[in-house]
Amino acid sequence: MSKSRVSKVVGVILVLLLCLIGLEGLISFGLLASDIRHIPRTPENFRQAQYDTLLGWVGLPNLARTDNYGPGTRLTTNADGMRIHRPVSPPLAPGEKRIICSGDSFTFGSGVSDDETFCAYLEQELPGVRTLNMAQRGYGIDQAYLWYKRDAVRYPHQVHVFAFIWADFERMAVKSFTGYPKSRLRLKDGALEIENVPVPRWTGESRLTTALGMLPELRIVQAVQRRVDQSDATKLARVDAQVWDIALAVFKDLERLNRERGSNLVLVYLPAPADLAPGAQDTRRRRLAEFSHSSGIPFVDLTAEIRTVPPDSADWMFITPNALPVQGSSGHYTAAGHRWVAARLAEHLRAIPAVAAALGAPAR
Amino acid sequence: MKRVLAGTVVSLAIVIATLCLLEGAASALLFVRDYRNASPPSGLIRPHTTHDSLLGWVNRPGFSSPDEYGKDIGLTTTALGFRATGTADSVSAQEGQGLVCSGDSYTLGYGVSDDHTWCALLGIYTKRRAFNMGQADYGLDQSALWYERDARRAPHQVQILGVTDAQLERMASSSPGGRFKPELALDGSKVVTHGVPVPAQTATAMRDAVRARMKYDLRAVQAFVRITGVDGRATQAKRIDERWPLVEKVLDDLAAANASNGSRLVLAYLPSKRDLRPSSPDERRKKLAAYAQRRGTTFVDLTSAMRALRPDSIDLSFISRVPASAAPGTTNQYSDLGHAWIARTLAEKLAPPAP
Repeated sequence: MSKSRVSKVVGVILVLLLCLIGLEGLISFGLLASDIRHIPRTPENFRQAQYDTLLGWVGLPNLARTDNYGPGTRLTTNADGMRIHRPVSPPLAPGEKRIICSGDSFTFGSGVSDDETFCAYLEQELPGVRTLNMAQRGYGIDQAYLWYKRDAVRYPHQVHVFAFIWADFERMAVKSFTGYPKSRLRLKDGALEIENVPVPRWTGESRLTTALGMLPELRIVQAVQRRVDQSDATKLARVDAQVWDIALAVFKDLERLNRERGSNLVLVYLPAPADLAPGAQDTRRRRLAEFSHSSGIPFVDLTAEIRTVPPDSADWMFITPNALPVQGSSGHYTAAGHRWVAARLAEHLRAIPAVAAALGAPAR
Repeated sequence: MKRVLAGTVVSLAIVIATLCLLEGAASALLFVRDYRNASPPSGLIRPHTTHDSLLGWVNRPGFSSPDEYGKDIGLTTTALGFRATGTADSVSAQEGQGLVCSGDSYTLGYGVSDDHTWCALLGIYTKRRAFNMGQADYGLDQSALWYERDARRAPHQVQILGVTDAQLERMASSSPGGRFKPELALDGSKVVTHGVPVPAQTATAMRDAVRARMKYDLRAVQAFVRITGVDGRATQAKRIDERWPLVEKVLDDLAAANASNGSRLVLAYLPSKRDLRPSSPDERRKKLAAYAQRRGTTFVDLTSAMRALRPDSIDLSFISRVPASAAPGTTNQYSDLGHAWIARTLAEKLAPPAP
């Protein structure tokens, strides 16, 4: 065969190969586009919040839904959008004590009724104490802090339970959560600053967040991911490098605010399903305990205790994927889980002399 | 203006073509690399099993792995190579009363400890000594062959054959997932066993099975499956439907083997996650029910009872949280709760009617 013929054949093969490769790429983008087109609508139960220029979203005021997560699961809010299990007026009656609970959906009580949250159960564990649930679904530590700073001052209280899960640090690193814009904190010359305010208005259902989550379908993204360390430890360390100092500054400022308001701050780490077995989160919890030790801010970590609960009991403390007719609460505490948290937390609160004294509870 | 427009279109086309070429090249490179580096799935063949020339694999007799499925979730085998039933053995069974449980991983109790399998619990509820002849990844054919060969060593009056949909599908292959096993076929009205003696398992066969599945990573293949609905994996699974007379004949032979052992055969359909919603396994269940009715065999189908459970109870009936260091593949097997429910429901259904 002549040289020119060989090069022609090689050329044709190369062109064919390029066409096949291009076709594979084109099909890949086509499949991704098709999947994006079929993204389901935002879960209905997220529609319990409204736009807020500072926080991104707050609870809708004066809600009274009787079957929010399924038959019989009530969702009630007061005029300030805080979840309540009975009527609440800002001033306290003489002799009454109040605990404010801040946090995310685990504190809010996603999937359970108003009176089945650990915050509500605390009233049974600590007789004579009233509680106010100032948590909101999807909040990061930053938003929970900002809401308390802005709106809690009208509600006199003696104790502030500032509860969070591992993912609340992750939420501090972003300017939007599941497509909903939010503010973000940063440190400038050691002081906390808010960025992305006024928070851009939510412009309607966005498929962007879900679509971004689908990018790993692309083979080029898979190729990159295989070259990057995707372990939990690395991911958490990456977030901590961005938000850890900010979180500590938030805790210190919360302590100052509480002192000014005559309240006692208690930081509470709530175990999520990912905490049931030892893992990357343990490093973060250890660092939090060290911070508590050095700063003197009380810190309650319920992880070690929940790990001693037999697995078949622990299973009943978290909402299973199909337990509720409304999606979006899977993995959160069941009523049994909230009751357990309340019992353990009350025990810890009584063991902190300043908190026990403030609540008029007999110290342990 | 025309030139600007043409320039823009050409630039756009170049960008799109480059992106497509990059994506396609990434796909091709990943495929080639994965293919070259393919290895047999680690941990699929558990240390408690060993090669068997008739069945493909069986339990090693007298084996103990105290943390097989997580800390203190152990697996023990008896001298006969059956799974031990733990504390259930010490429960007073009526003299000489025994039951044999046959099936796949859902009967073996893959993921739970010896005394938490439905077989062990059913022994307690029915006051019979239980012999667990379940084995992971067995087809219905292997369960039948094992019973016919070894069950007479276990004194029993009942054999409960736990049938799952996957177990039926495995019957249609001589090497599901690359694991060598015998394959039964009908020769006239007789069942003949092909592929015996079953060769010793090779890593190459399992690696080849992994490689065969890799074509589904290619986006063009995914698109083809999505558009045409032609999926080789589903086609393989459906082969058993074309061989249904074989299934019935194997069950006939099993019933005859039971009779010669002084036992009776009970078919129990064990629902797995794929049975929780109406789907193709429903047809197979119906065919099993019709067969059982024709032959007068007791058939207990637990599917509708499980579907009627509360959704959170269904969720918790299957393993979703796997303890560290557990054997691979325990997800979606029955949990302790699932086994307890199966045992209790079976005991109720099999109990003689009250006078």
